[in-house]
Order: sequence, then C-alpha cells, then structure tokens
Amino acid sequence: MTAALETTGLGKSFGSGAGAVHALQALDLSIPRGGVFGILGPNGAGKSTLLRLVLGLIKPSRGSFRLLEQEQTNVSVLRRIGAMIEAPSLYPFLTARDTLTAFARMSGFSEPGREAQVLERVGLTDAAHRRAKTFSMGMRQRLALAAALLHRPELLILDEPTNGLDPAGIQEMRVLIRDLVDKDGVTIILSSHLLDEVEKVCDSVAILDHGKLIASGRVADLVGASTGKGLLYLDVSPIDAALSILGAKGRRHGEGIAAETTREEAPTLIRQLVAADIAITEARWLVSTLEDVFLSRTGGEGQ
Amino acid sequence: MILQALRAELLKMSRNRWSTFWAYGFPPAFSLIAGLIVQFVVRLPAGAEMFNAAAPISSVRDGLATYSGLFLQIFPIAGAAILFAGEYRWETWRAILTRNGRTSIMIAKLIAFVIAAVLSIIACGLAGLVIGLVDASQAATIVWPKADNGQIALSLAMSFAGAFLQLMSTAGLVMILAVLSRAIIAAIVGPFLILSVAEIASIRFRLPDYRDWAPLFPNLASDAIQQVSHSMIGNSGATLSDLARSAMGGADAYAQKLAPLGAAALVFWAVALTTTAIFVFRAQDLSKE
Repeated sequence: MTAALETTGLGKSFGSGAGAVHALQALDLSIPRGGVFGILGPNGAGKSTLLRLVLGLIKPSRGSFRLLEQEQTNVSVLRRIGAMIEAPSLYPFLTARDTLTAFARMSGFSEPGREAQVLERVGLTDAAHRRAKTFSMGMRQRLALAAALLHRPELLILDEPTNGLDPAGIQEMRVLIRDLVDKDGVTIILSSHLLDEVEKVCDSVAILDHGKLIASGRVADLVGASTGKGLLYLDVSPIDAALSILGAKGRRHGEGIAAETTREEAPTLIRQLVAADIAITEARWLVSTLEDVFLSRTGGEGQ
Repeated sequence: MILQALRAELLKMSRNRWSTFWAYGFPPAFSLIAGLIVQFVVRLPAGAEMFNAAAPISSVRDGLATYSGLFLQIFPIAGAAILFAGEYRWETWRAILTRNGRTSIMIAKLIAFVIAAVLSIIACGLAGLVIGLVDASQAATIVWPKADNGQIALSLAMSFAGAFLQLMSTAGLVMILAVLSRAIIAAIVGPFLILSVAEIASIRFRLPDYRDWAPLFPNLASDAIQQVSHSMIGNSGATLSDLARSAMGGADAYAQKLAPLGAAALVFWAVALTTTAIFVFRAQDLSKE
C-alpha cells in the first residue's frame, strides 16, 4: 500500500542553543493511503507542528517527508489536500458562500454548484448568506470543513475537527468522516484529544509525546483486542503471595491486582491462585481502551 | 496562479466594503467635500474680489497630487495593512497557503493595492475637476494654462505618476512591516511614524540646503515630481497650495534636475521593500500566525 505521508527523521526546533525547543524529534512515520489515521498526544506533543510541517507552513530543521509520493511540498501537491488546522480560520466579513468562493478562486478551482453542495454536506445551507463573524464556534468549524472539502481533496488533514460541536454535531462529523473514507475514498489524518472519538472513527493511530513517536499501529492492535490479551482484575488476599505466583504478568491495581492474560488462560490462572490458598473475592475483566494505552504510554496512569 | 489569487483578493476587498471605502474612497471624498466647503462657505461670502480667477486644470493636477501629503496617506496605509497583515490577523494563512503559493499571493495582494491606489488617485483627480468646475462657475475669470494639450496631458500624467510612485513606496514599507510584525496595527503605525520622521528630517534638505541625494526622501522625491508637473502648465493658475509647495519644495530648476532621481528613488524604495518583504515571507515560519 502506498503512503499518504512518510516522514524520515523529521524534526523541528524553535530557537537555538540551550533555549531551543525541540517540538518534533527525528520522527519516522508512515501513514498509509485509505482509512482514517489518528495522531494523538498531550499538549506540546508535536501534533500541530507535524501538520504545519506537512502543509509547508513551517520548514523542517532536519529530516524529510514525502507527501502523496512527492518529495517537495509545492502548491500542486498541496492542492490535492484539504486541511483544517487548529481553530477555524475564516474572514469575518465574508458570508459562508463568499468564503468558499474566495477559497475556490485562490485554488483555481471552478465547479458550478460545488459551494452549495459542500454547504449542504456540512449542514450550513440555511446560513449560506450569513457572515462568518456571526457564526457560533460549531458553525465556524463546519464552514472550515466545507472549505477543506471544496476542491475534492485526496487527503484531508483535520486538527481537532469536533471542537465546538454539540453531541449531535460530533455524531454527524463521525458519520461524515467515515463516509468520506468509505464512499469517496479520501484518506484522513486526524488529530484529536477526544480519545473515545478517535477510537470510534480511526483505523490506525500514532501517539506522540514530547516530539517523539511512542506508539503507532492499528487501534485494535494497540488496545490488545486482536491478540485476545486483556487485564483481569482480582481482589485477592494475600496480595504479595498472588503477585509472586503471577510474576511478570501481575501488578498492583487499586485494592487488588491486575493480571495480563487471555480468556483461555484465565481459568488456569485462577486455579493456581486457589491452589496456593489465596482467597479470591472478585474477578472481572478490565476493558482496555485507547485512553488506557494513551495514558500509559504518555506517563499517565492507565487502568 | 497570481491571477487566481488576485481574483480572490479582489473579491475580499469588494466584500470588506467599509474598510475598502475608508482606505481608498475616503481621501477623494474628503478632498471633494473639503473643496466644496471652501467654495461655498469661504469663497462665495468673500466675493469675487478675493478670488477672481479659477484654474480648473490646476485643480485637477492638485487633485491628482492629493497623496503627496502624509496626512491623507494614512488611509491607503491602513488599506495596505489590511491587505498585507490581514491574513495574520484572521489567522487565514494556514487556510490559503494550501491553495496558492506564497510569492503569488503576495504579488496578487500588491496588484490589488495597485488597482485600488490607481482608482483612488483618479478619483482624487476627478474630485479636483469637480471643484475646479464649481470654482470656474463662480469666478470672474477662468485661467487656462498657456501650455499646449500635450504638455497639459504630460503634466497631469506626471502628477499622477508622482502620487502613484509615492503610494507604492509607502505600500512597500507597509508590506515589509506587516510581514515582520505580523500585526495590522504595527503595519499602520510603523510606516506612519517612519514617514513622519522622514518628513521632519527632510526639512533641512529643502531649499536653500538642497542636496543631490535629497530625493531619496520619498516626500521630497514626490515634491520634485509634482513641482515639475506644476511648472509645465505654468504658475498663472496656481492655487495657494501650489505656491506654498513651490516655496517649500524648491525652484523649478532644481525640481527639473531632481525629478528623475526622485522618480528613480521612489521606484527603488517600492521594488526594494516589496522584494525584501516577499523574500522574508517566503522563508517565514508560520508556526502561529
């Protein structure tokens, strides 16, 4: 499968000397075409820096990247991309329709009726003649998305696309993103803090922290679902004896212990503990989520 | 790509009506209204004895030279600041730089300013024409230049060119400060302060202490061009402001000598400043607009 984005040792530093901030450090990442790829990370992880580098807004300090199989980020490549980076950037004095017309002219894109089409797709048809300065945050977000979709991009880069949207809007956005991928064949790179949303909509993710890639892969693989491994919570006594039996598989978790095991191995493990005179008062599976993976990999405490 | 970006810029300017009016429409409107007030409030009550001659051609020439004064330049300075620093203010660089090239967009913005500036200068000339015709309808005598039609046309063209080149050098200053500061307010206040200081500093190089390099000051360069334009159609129809400018700016002979250098200096400032601004912008990191 060809890559939509491939980075090799990509790095970006701001400032110089001892005070330099290394926003991105030697990033090696490959994002395949097709599907939704999530980029996760706490504030300052380097997500926006990566997206701005890709879009040519900032220049790399080291390393290189290939975007849609092109070495150079020139306008002809960028015009195959739709982007919505950070807060929606719009002209306050333009109406929704004029905003799209201005962006279409800037792109050299012309397709009669396309503006109305994308406004309808993001649910802004009734606000087409209202100026952007009167829009709520959610409406601004929708208009920015319409602008990103306007010229039928192959690759869509969305930074926090659900910011400012109400629950119904978030649900619509999720459906729209899946539609774009599944029906229109668009590749989407999505950066978000809403981990449950990412888990619902993304096929693969990369987790960044302090400018470094700390994990990447398919969501299912990262949460352990595909391997069948999970965490079994056991309320046992005495804990130390149980931990010595479990060895590397076990660790303290709240009032009890968590054992990394599979559903097939679980009965055997429980029998071992009972045979060693360890009292078990509760046993239940801990559901592993992307949030657990994210927190554990970025230094937070997972389940 | 420049044409595509220009079409987008012109659409934005046409929709941002109030800003566009204040930047490019207000100076001619102000000139017209102020001129008519002078005609109807000062001249009519004063009677024909005080102002017994009208010079419509001189009035048009004066209109074309409206922007040679710094005060009215503040309006196109604001217009240029909105063009060149607006994308930083609205954080829209990240939305348009995926659609067109940095150089193309900056050149398109510059062309948009050229179009607006040309229309504004012509409107100032038309305001002068209206004032001149009203003046002629009231005056006992109408003074026509002794020069032939060709010289009159050349004089008006020189007056237009002087104002245009001065505005373009100012636009270059606005552009570089907009890129460096990334702020509309700095792109307005900065050039105004710099040009004010230049205007004050240039005072000592007016007659009789004129230096050959004095036209490097944009205001003196423009003055020299306007003086030549003025001298081509004679002083017979000179207005008070013409005479005042003549007295301050230097004699016709000096102006004839210095006008070419003045024009070259204004072109130099315009080209050097805009080129530098574009090069700086091409290398600029837009980590945060």
